Amino acid sequence: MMNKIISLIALCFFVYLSRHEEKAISCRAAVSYYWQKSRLDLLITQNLDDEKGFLLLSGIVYNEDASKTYLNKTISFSYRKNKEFYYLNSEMINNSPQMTMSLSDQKKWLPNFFTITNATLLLKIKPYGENAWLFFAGNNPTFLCERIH
Amino acid sequence: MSRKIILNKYLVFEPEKKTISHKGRKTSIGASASMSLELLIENVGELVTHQQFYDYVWRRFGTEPASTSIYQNISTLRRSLIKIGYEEDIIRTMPRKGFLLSPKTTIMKENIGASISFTDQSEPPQSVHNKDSNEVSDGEKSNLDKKKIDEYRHRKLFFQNFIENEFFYFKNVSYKNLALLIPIIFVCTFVYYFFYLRMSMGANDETFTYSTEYKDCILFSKNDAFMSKLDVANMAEKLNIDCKSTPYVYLTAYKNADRLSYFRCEHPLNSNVRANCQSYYFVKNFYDE
Repeated sequence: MMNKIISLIALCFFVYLSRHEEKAISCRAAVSYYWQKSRLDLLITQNLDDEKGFLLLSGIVYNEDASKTYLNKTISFSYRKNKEFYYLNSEMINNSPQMTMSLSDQKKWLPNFFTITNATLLLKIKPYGENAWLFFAGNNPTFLCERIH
Repeated sequence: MSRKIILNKYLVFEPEKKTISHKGRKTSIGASASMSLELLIENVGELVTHQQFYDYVWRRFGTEPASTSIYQNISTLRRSLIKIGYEEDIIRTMPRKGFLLSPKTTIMKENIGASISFTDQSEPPQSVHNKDSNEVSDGEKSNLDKKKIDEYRHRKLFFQNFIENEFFYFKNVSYKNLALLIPIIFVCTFVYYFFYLRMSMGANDETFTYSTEYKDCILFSKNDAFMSKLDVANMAEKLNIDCKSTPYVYLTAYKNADRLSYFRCEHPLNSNVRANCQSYYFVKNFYDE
């Protein structure tokens, strides 16, 4: 009888885990943004779980005049979810002291969510297979974020 | 499963244990006394003849009782009832005919290990000798009443047996086969999740579909972008995509949008292997060029 109870508990735990894992997103993406004649290469690490998340952003902007500026910041946020849509609200932003990218340049590339607290961002995040998520900022997928194991 | 029969709310008879108890006082009764009481309960309010007792208690087991056996059993039962403090005489003697359990006796049956009870309130005592009868003689009236009561009891017993036998049969099967049931639930859950995940993956797979090959690239395009093979190949040409190390390219370019994006991956996206992709995002409409 004890074995049967243990089996049942294990089954419930398995079901719980499989459902729980679906909700959490923990991934990394490498993306290059091209705008006019500049390029921003970014490495994005993010984690979203239980309506709280954080985002690590580091990258290099290659300007038209061949100059480079560096970006490095961490953002923690809360979020609400409605199906594939995530409503993010920035809570804390930590800029690296070594970051050379000016605030005005950041605002050229990034939405307010990345530069000021209590700013919102709407994202569409669609799971792709078991190991990746597609992130949409508009109609186009912005980047593919792969699971961190 | 053992049965528990409760008579008049407080008198508890357990046929399998051959015990009767009343308000915390319990005593054992013999096997034949127990069967006699069972027979009386089954025929509550009805005369149980000596022959019925002999057949039910002894003869069906191949033994021939002495003529006094039945009286000894009933006497034992009565003494046991008094012993446990049950003063009411519920067993009535019909001289030279048999015995009956008082028709006012309420009966509630429980099956220990299951959760159902069935209450049998016997018919109110009916006049055996009806003096008001005009057209039917006393004997005929009595037979008619008895017949009606028999039919009523038969229906009740049928229902009772159905409940006890059929319903509990399924309940017992569930308990007995619990060891089998749990793996079945497990397998069903596993199969459900397997198909659920496959369907989810299938839905995701539809985001991009294979389009064409260009140089070293295996090109996929986003379904709802409606790109022809030529469009896809042209875009790959314009973007000058290097596919040597990352041959799998997933392209999204809407004709009326000012954005284009693609992912260059080492492995296909829908495989179990990590795809190792690099994403590219352009604020530009390449159809204009």
